[in-house]
Amino acid sequence: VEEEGLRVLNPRERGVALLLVVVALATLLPLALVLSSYVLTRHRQVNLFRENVGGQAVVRGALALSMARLRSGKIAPRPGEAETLAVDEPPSRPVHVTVSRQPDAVLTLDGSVLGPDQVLGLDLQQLGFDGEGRTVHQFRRLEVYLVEAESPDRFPFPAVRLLAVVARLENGQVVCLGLRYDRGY
Amino acid sequence: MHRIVALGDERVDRGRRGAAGFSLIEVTIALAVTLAIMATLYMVTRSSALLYEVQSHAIERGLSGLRALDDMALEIARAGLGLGGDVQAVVPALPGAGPTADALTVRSNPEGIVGALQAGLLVHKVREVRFRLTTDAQGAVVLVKDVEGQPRQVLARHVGGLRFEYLDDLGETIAPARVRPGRSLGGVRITLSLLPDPARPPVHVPPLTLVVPLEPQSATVTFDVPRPGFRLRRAFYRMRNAVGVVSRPFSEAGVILAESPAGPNWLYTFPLQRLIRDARIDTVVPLARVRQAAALALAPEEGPWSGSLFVVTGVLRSIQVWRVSPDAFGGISASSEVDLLTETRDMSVLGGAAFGIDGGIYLSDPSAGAIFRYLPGDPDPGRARVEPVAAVPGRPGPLVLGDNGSIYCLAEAPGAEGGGTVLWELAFDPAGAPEPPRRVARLEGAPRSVALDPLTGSLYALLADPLGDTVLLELSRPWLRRPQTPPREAFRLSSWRKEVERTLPEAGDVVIPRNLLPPSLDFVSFDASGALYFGAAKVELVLQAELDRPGGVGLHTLGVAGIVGQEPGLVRKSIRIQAWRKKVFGF
Repeated sequence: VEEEGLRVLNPRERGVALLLVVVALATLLPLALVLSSYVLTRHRQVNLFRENVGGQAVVRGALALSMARLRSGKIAPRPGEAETLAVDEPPSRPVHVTVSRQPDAVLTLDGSVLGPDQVLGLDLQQLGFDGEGRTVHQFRRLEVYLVEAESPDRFPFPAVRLLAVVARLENGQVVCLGLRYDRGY
Repeated sequence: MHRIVALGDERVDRGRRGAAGFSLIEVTIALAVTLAIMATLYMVTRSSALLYEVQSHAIERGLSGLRALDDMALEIARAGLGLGGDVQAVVPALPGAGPTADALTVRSNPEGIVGALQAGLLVHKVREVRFRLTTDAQGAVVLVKDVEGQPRQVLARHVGGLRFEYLDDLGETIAPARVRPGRSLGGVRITLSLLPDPARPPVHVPPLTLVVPLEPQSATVTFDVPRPGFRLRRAFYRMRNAVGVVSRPFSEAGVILAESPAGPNWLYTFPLQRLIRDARIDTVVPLARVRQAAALALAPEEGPWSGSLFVVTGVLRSIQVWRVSPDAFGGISASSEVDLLTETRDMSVLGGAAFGIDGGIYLSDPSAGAIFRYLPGDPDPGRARVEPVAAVPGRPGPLVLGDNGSIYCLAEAPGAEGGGTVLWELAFDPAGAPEPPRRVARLEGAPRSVALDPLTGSLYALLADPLGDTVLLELSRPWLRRPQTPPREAFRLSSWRKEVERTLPEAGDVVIPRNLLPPSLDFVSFDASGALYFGAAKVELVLQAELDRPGGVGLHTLGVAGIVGQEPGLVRKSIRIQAWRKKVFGF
């Protein structure tokens, strides 16, 4: 008698508590799922935007690094050759960079661009005089490089690529002549 | 009878109670509990539904904003691609409209298609993209992207605000009206505010901001052999009490304001071409009623008074503002009309004059220790409407409109500071109203004149140093932001005089008779091509010179741009290089 008196539930009501828990979970689960879905969606939105902007910044940084190495001579591909470098900083966004040397371009004082075939036999160091008697160069030679920096895709984020034309001037200055970003190309 | 049971026999009693049914209290409690649970369930369900509506709305708004921002950022990052630096790639306006902060036109040539009409004249295939706000058929404000040759694209609906701010290469904000061809931009800050969709539950949508740096899309290659130094180019003699020199951008003529031998002021126009080395004067424009001119200012090109020259005189404790209108060809000539715009006795002495970005002429009065403003656009001409806008300690003198849109003033420091000159900045708030003046730095010497170098954006302050010499200080843009060290001395009169007296002139050098070498200088000016002018009243000279700027400004300079092309479906890329002659004013 004493043992039975200690029971909280009627033996015939066994399973009711479980039923109650199941009902409560069934009620709350959709709400939890909805909330979780919203959190994930917002997270994905913000991440996508950050990755887009971040990817652009990382490949831009790789271009700056390539230009600095060209300036210092650490990268010096010959015409028709290419050098690659891997930028592992930050580790979460590795960037693969290819710097390929293109045929040199020669600029003339009047604004023309001469190709390799047109400069044969020309003295590129030739000086001349302008109408005021000033000494001016007749030609300026540019070493032209194509820099491709790519941050690979990581689902669901698309890859980001930068294509830039970089030139080294005769005074050693390295300048960017134009660049563009591509996403998910 | 059943209730009388023996103690310890509860099992028997419980069994009987079940058989007798629930009591009223039990049923009531059960009903209340059920109702409470149902109410809770209803509230939870209703909250879930509302949350779903609100959050899906918030997500839609957030996604729309981010997508629009990203689209604009990508286009802005491409600005100038394949065009070259002489084309204005970022225009803070729509075609046929004035500068604004809520619309943007971006130009590029992503295909790199360029044709040469003749030597030095290139024609680009321009892709023009415009972002602006408009109203759709339902009356909602929408952000649209217009690309020529393509259907209009709506980037976001229910837009509360769109703002483009322009940053220079130091990160300082530039007013849209000051974004012009040739002006280098560092970036564009986009601020986009979306409103909730009125047909959906209200939701808070925070504004989105993104700074898009503008990428270098071209470079310059100079053909000049470097030749540093300060080089005298021309000397204009018999320029009595000259006040200053100005020229319009792309104009072939400069204008000197000086007194005529008879007394009234004259304007002397002269050719700016650098090939011309003699001091020839093309035209003399008599200003018969204008006497004792003390300052001149060329009206901003983007304002309603474009091309007009404003001359300010101080006669008998009265300040007059005169306007010399451009002739039919946009220049100053004998057919230019000369009108008195206003005369005021609110000011007694004129220290300097400059246009502000609000279109007003700012005048300093050293005796009143104040800066006044005159708005030429006011109705009822002839009446004095010169109002004080700022008090400046000491004696405010020369004024100039800086590259950042602020007015800078050189003021004699109050006696308590032991003399010298204090540079003040009068900035403008986003609405275009002048803010209280800010003290920038103290300089050694007495203020004479200040001018803006249009090529570098630096200010040049002419000061009489305590030993009686005249020095020209370069107040560069970085220095104006952080004036922690003394500014660079660009020119010292005594040193230049010594050099002229000591060295033999070379062929082509301008020679000034020794007795006409100026003992002091009174004003410094720049024309639109960046040539420097000094005025020396004692010897009635105006000198034109080339200034040795840091980095130099080549006369023979090409712009170069490169484009990477890739045929669809091919891995191989090709590079196209184009070059063009940079425009050098007056060359």
